[in-house]
Order: sequence, then C-alpha cells, then structure tokens
Amino acid sequence: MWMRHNPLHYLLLAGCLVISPCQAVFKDEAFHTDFQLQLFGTPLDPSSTFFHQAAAGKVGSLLYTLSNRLVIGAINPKDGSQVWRQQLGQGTVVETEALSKSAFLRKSKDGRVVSVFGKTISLWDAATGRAIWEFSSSLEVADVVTAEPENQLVVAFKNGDVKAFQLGSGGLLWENVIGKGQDAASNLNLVGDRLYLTLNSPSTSQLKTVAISPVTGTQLEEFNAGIFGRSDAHVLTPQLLPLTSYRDSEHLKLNLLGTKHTKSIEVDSDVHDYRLHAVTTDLVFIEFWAKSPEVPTSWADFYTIKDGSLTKVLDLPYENDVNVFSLSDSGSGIYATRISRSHIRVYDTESNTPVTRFEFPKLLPAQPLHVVTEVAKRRDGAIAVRAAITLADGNVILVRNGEIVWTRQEALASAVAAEFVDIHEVEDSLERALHAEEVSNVVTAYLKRVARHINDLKYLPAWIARFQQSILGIAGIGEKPTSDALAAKDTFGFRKFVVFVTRFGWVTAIDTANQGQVVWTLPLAKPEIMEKDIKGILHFGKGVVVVVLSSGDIFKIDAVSGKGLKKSSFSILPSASVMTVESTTTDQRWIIAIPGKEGAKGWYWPDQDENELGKALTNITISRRCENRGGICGYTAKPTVGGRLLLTQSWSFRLPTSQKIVSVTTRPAHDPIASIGKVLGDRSVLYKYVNSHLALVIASTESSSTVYIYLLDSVSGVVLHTSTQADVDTTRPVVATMAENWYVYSYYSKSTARGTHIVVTDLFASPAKNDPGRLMLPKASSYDQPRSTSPYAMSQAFVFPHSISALATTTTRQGITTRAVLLAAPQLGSLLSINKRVLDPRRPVGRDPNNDEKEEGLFKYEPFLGVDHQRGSLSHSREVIGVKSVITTPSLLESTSVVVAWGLDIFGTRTSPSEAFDILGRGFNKLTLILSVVAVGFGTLFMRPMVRKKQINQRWTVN
Amino acid sequence: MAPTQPAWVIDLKSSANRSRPPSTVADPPGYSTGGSSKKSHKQITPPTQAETDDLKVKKAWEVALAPAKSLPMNMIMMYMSGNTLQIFSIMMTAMLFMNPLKALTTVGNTFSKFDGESTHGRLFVVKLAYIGLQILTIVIGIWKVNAMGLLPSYSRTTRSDWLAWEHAPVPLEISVSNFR
Repeated sequence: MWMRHNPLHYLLLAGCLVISPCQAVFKDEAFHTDFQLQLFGTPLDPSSTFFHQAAAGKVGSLLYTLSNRLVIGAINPKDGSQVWRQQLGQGTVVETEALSKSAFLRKSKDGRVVSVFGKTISLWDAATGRAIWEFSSSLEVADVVTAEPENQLVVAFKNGDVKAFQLGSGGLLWENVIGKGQDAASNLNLVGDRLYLTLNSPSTSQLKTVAISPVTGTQLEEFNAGIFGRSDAHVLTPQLLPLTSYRDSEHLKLNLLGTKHTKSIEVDSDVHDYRLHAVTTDLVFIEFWAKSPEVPTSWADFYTIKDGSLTKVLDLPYENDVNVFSLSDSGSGIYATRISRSHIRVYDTESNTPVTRFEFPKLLPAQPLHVVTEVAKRRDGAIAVRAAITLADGNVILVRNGEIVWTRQEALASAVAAEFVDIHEVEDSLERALHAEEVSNVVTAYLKRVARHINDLKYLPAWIARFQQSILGIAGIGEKPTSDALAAKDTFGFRKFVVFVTRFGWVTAIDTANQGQVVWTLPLAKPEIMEKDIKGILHFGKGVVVVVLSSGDIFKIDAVSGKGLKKSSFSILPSASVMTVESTTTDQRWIIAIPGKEGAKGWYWPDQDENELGKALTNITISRRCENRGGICGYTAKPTVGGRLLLTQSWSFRLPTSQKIVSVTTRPAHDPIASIGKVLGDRSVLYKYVNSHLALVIASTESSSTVYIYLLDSVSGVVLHTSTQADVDTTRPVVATMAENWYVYSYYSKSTARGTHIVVTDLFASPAKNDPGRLMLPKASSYDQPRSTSPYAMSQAFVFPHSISALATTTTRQGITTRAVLLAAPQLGSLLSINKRVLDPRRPVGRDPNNDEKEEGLFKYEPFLGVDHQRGSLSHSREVIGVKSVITTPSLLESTSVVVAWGLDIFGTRTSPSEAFDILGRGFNKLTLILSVVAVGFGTLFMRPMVRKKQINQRWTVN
Repeated sequence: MAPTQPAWVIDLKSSANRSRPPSTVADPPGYSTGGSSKKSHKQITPPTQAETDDLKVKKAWEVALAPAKSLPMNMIMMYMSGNTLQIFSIMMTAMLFMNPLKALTTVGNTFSKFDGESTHGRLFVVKLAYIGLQILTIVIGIWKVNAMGLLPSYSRTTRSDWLAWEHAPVPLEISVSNFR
C-alpha cells in the first residue's frame, strides 16, 4: 500500500499539528456545504391528518399531520414546506401498528390543535406550533373532544376517568370516574349538549354508552349498546357523529348514541378493515377494503342518520384495486373522493357515477395508503380537488386535479439502515489501464500510453469549453453552474450516495453533493420491513450494494444507477448473521450467512468458485453474537457443495446471564493509521496498540446499574481490556465509537456527578517510551498475544452537559488528519464535534502541563467538557431531530470527511477536524489573484524600458 | 587634425618620464637620499629563492590557521545563542555552514598567491590543515544543529525521527464480523 510508506505524509501531519485544533462552520459554507431533509415521518392515520385553518379568518388552510415517528406539524399545501413541527414522546420509537391506537392529533377551537401520545395531552397553537399547555397523567388517554360552547377540552382515560380542562389555561374544571374504573373506555363523542363515553366491561362482555353533562361532568344516563366479545374491536368513529362503532369478525356494528338501537352491517370475513368518514352529523361514509395482495378490493357506502335510524342511501361500486376514500365538504355540497394509483374520481351524494375524474399523467410510485382532500366547486360548476396522499412507499404527495404538485420524502424518516456508496469507485477504467501498463513491458506500455493519450484527445474540446466556463465563472459573468454540473465536477470526492432501506420496504439513495436530493428509489418485494428484518446493507464490489433481509431475500443493486441487478434468496433463518468475504486474489466477493443455531451449517452466495472461497476463508475468523445473544462467538468456516458452509466454533466469550449486551463496536472498515506511534515532547515515541480485530463489547446489568466494557480480539477471542462503570442509568442509551487505537463511550451517570459522562480510552503497546512491545514482530498473529503484552490503556472521563444519542468518528483517506468525535445531542437538536486532541487521556490532571507536555499539545485536564457552540456545532443553526446514527466516509481530500446523520431528519455535511489545509476556502478571491498577477505582468512590461533608459542615463550623465 | 589633449593628460604623460628636477634646495637635516648614511655602503642582497619560499609557506600557514582562531569564539557564540529555533540562532547556525563551505570551494584561490613551482609540494599540508579546520567548523555547526533537535538520530530519546519509516506488519489473520 503506497499510503503507508510515504514520509511526505509526516510533513502533512506536522502541518496538521501546527494548525490549531479549532474547527468551525464558516458563515459562507453554512447552508452550502451542508444539507438537511427536515422530515415529519409518514402520516400515521387519516383521522390524524387534516386540512385545517391555522387561525380563524385566515384564508387557506394548512395540512396538519401526526407521523409514525411521533412528530406533529403543519405543512404548507402550496409548496410542501414545513410550517412547524414538534416531537412528541422524546423520540420514542414504537412500531406503527401499536402507535395508531395511542397517538392522535385532533382539531380544537380557535386555531389550536390537540395532540395525544400515551399519557400526555398537549394543546398547540395551530399557526406557530407553540405549546399552550400540556398535561401528563398516570393513565393512558382514550379520547379527547373539544366542547366548543363550554370552551373546554374533555379527556377520557382508558379506565373510564373523564376530566375537563379549560382550553385557554389548562386548568381542571371537573373530573368524574365512570364505571368504577373497571371498564375500558374507547371513545368520546359530543352530540348536541351531551357527551357520550363508550365503555366496555371485559368481565360482562357488555358495551355501554354513558351520557355525561359537559358542564358539570355528572353522569346523566347509561345505555346498554350491545354485546362486546373478547375478539371484538372498536372502530375509530368521527367525533361529530352520534355513533359509536365496533366490529366482530363478520359485522360492523353501529350504535346510535343515546339509544339501544344498534345496526349491524354484514361484511365478508376477508374485509380487512373499515374507515368511517363524516363531515356532518347526519351522513356517514364507510370505506371498506380487503388488502389481500392477490385480489385487493375496495368499496364504500353512504348512510344517513335520520329519526334515530341508519339508512343506506348510496353505494360506490366494488373494485378489485387498492382505492382510498376521503370525504370533504366544499361548502356547497359534500363530495367523496376515490383515489387509485392511476386516477382520482369525485362523487357527490346523489349518484354512484363520478361527477368528475382526473387521470394522473403516470402511475403513482406506489399504492395509496390514505388520503385527505379538499374539494371546491367553482362558479362555473367545475370541480377542483386537492388531495394529500400518503403512499405505501411512505412518502406524501399533494395532487391538484390529477397533477402532482409536490412530493415529500417522508419515507426517509423511517430508514432502518444506511450505507455510503462511493460513486468514484465505479470509474475504474483508468485504474485498469494504468495497471495494464504497469505489468506489460516497456515498449508495449509506452505504445499503450500513447494510444490512451490519443484517445483522451477527444475530450479536449469539452475540456476547453469547461475551462472557459470555469474562468468565466471565476469572473462572475458566466451563467451560474447548475447543481447537476457541480455534482458532475466533483474534483474532491465530496459526492457520495447514501443508500437507505426504509421501513416501507423501499431502497432510496440520496446525493450528498446535491442537497440530499433523492437520486433513485427502488421497491423491495416486501410490503413492510421492520428494523429487525434487515440483515444488512453490504458493499459488494465497486458501486454495488446488497440488501439482505431476514426472509433470506438477497437484492443486488447497482447503487449508482439504482437498477436492481439480481434478486436471489437463501433459506435463511431469521436469527442468522450476514457478512461479506473478499477473495484474496481476485475481486470476487461472497455473502456468507451464519445461522443463529449453533452447530448448523451456514450458507454462501453466489454459489460458485468454491475453491476460491475456501482459500479466502482459511485465515478468516468470523465473529457474531452467540445463539442466545448472551455473548460473542468466533468461527472458522469451510465451504462445501450446494452453497453450504461447515462452521467450527473457535472461541466464545460468554457473559453472565445478568449482563445484557448493549452494543458491540468495531473499528470502521476504512481506518488507516498514519503513524503507529505518538511523538512525545522529548521526541521519544509512545507506540500505539495497533490491532485491526478489536471489538468493544458493552454490557449492562439493570439491577445493579452497572455497565461493563470488554475489549476483545475478534480473531482469538482474547479479552484485552475490561472496565466497569457503576451508578449508570441503564435505561438511557450507552453509545460508543472506536477508531485507530482508542475508543470513546458515553453513558448517563446517577452518581454524585449526575449527567452524561464521556470516557475516552487510548491503547498503547507499552507504558514505556520507545518500546514497541510486540507491535513490530514480523509475523503479527492475534494468537500470539500473551497476557503480559495486552495493551496499556489510559482513560479519562468527562462530564458532558447534554445527553448523547449517537457517537461517531470522522474518517479521512489516509488517517493523517486528527480525528474528531461526533456527538448527536437530541435535546439540543445538534450534531456536535469534539476534536480527539481534547479527548486525550494523557492530559495532565491537577497541574499545568510541563514543557514537554506543552510541546506535545496537551493541556490541563478539566472534568467538565463544555460545548463551544460556535466552533463545535456542525449543524449550526439547524435543528436536527431524531438522530439515531451518524455515518462518516472519507473524501478525496485528506482534510475532509463526509458526515451524514440519520434517524428522522437527515443531515449531511463535511467536516475538517484539522481545518481545510489542502483546499482554498470559499472566501478566497480567485479574481483578485488573477487580476493582480496580470497587473504585475503589465507593470513589468511598462516599467522595463523606463528603468533601462534611466539606468543608461545614469551612467552617461556627467554629475 | 589630431584632437587636442587636455593639459592634465599631457602633464600626466610627460611627468612619468620626466626625471626629478635638479634640486637647488638643500635636503633637510637628517634626510638622506638613497638609504641611510651608515648602511649606504652595505650591499643589499636580494632574498634567495629558498627564503622567498619559506616566507610564502609561512604566510600560507598563517592563512591556513586563521579559522582555528575563530573556533573558540564560534563555540562560545553557539553555546550562548541557545537551542531554540529563533531567527538569530538559525542565521548564525546557517553561517557556520555557509562560510566553511564557501571557503572549501575556494581553497585553490586562497593559496594561489603563495603557490609556485617550488612551494606547491609544501603547500599541500597547509591546504590539508586549512580544509581540516573548516571541516571542524562544520562539525561545530552539526553539533549545534543536533543540539537544536534538527538532526535525526537513533539515540534513545529521539526515536520519533525514524517513526515515519516504521510501520506495523500486516496481520496474518482477517476478521469478519457482524454483531447486529
């Protein structure tokens, strides 16, 4: 490897050390070199998504939504921009199914919206998104309703407790427990001047409705609404309807509130679900659908409520397609909108033929999940439709009369895995040509080179044109380069694709050089994917990624074009671990899967070149979590026929049953060590402990609030270093990152120094100076590590003022630049960066550094590690929420690392921990430089004859 | 017509050839023309070739040993200037190299006026001494540079100078892992 031998790099290194470790986002770089996709997440439920006027009297409405990532907010329907957003529940991640029962968003009075998540009710200003008040209870909330005349918010809790709050102040007005706290409340309706609470008692299988006075909260009447069996379920009912509805396997039952009258609508057993829509109190619109993938069906019925009875007035026809419906009041009539993947149809309440119909120019990218609409009837009788459609790929689009106005990539908020792809890797034809020249003899190599150069001449006109353009660009007269052109002209390798797999079963790539624009998106065959279903996104050669699902499906994707190359599968067990193996001689790769069960055979794919794989596997140790996940196991493997692997366990590291593994961290795949030693102030060397097989296992015991840190060698399974931390809040995240010869982890401490602690540990070959220990032995084997030569570890701990949800380390091309540790601080909504030179365990404690230490760049240890927001924040004024993971990759410039944080928002930037020493900043004025060079040139031309004349005159003049 | 020459040119030219004007004025007391009155009769013998050679070699030795005189001063100056990297100490150290190097390139020139057919052989040792002394000055310079920490060495304390050429061997085993 050429990068290891070049002493020139040490000059660079010296350069890095001379420059102060300050780093900052410059004003002219902010918002240019970084990007953020501000996301909400996919709208959870049609009842929690609505068009609503932000303030009374304001023209135009905003689109309000509650997402599957528990973000509420308002979107401007004109351009899809975010008006405001708020996060509920501190970034809790709950699976969508469970969430739609415990979280909802409702309209309230006077330009307010009310949100509920679990036990918390919050009232928000609809225009600004400011919180008005919040109430947290010890009970789960069942339903909320705004009683407008009384100016109060009535909340029903799951146990039948009903509370009324004053809308403006949040003060408690009254409280009443209905049904002795043994019944389960489901929904609350406001009909006329009475509140109706629906309860069911699991013991008696009875459904009852209770009428409550909204003024005093006293119970007025109780009705028996029917039998509610154990397998029955409530159906979400719009609150303005005088109905409560529930279902059993074959019926949808509608009870008219305040009566014992219950209407049963018989439906097929394969109907998947119902949705009730209403915009007035006397008309119910019921949407039915069966979601079996082979024959999806959907239809809908209109019912009127008149004189205490429900009558069907109209039915919209069956269709063997996925359709979604919405009901809206245009002011001059009620319209139902039916949306399929290819068109929109609008029905009125009179007939089952559509009033109007719009075709989409092309099929929507995915099936619709649900929709909210606004229908307007113009003076000339034409009907206009605006529909916000949530698609099955997780994205939201707004359609106006069949034309897509905007698309929000909300699916990316539900990403479960992400990986960088280097698009430059693909352009390897030059590399191949150079290699061919290297191996052939001098004459042919020369001929080849000449031929190549002649061939390259055809690019010359384009190059000249580009050059001209760039000169004009410097002068500021040429047209502004488009973002596409900028991306194509990626001299410094800042352009990377990030490939995400989302919960909705789609693979999406974004471009870091183009403000995070989506480059391509591709469906996997699965309709829905959970995080545990993704076995991994693996690099598979140049520009190719492979997505492996726990179902055993393998998707090979060309990450640059977004084309699915190959789909295959092996009969994988859900608990298998998947990784890639590279051939030692060719550029062939295999995916290997190690089944969860011990002793079972593994698999490899593609099922070819068995001998090559066998050769590659001879000195490979595979490690992963053991069968019961209570430890780490190492294996050696041998391929056999039929794509199977014979596995032999070579070591195992098992934890006591009380300890649970929190995280396992390894060194990044690209982690070059530029210098194997640390130069001290007196010019002696402290040798680093260099080992590419390190695995950092963090385990916790909840009962004793302890965290255990183990450092393993993943080839031999030897424990190299251990430490423990007591008084740890194990319910909060414990995160770690590792690079070179050090690791950093953080946890929340409950000790007297309460707060987030960051611990940094550096590993050295030996405590003595100039002692490389066993580092330089010619045959470096992991098995050759006697206990006495385990690394010498130095640690220092710091108190950090903010909680940390993710840790990462910058990576650069050759590892010369100082590293920076990146921290995602969810409470700040920031991505912070701390230079590794600050997190140095050699910092002198309790005294000022002596001369040698000063020369080494060490300064006095301070236990409190503050955040310098001016210098340490990579996300500057942006608010980045929900960061789950931070990934980094090197650019072509040694100084710069490309960083992407993802989880909910996606934030991408580039950072130079030792400042951008190899590139001119944006502030550098090329025009001035060129002009001054030209000016000096002209000046010389003019001055030369003058000076010559003067000199001659001087010689000849008689003084 | 030939250009008329200025008067001073004519004076200059003619005076060179003109003999002393006959003196009509008596010499001042104690002044004697053509040597002292006592030795006026003594025969002045021109130095022999051997004597001239001896003299030349002697002079050459003086030139050759001149750098030795500045050695102690150089040493004291170097000691006093300290080992920090400052503009003055750097300049002085640079001079310590520049001057001897310059002198070494012009050894022939320096001794050319003492050089003759007869002295050539004897001057060899002189030149050798001269070169040796210049080299000694350079050695002082090297010592100084080393003291300033600019010289790579393999002493126990300055291991870092060779760190760039040291690298850990490629490990024999490869580990592949997935801990999800």
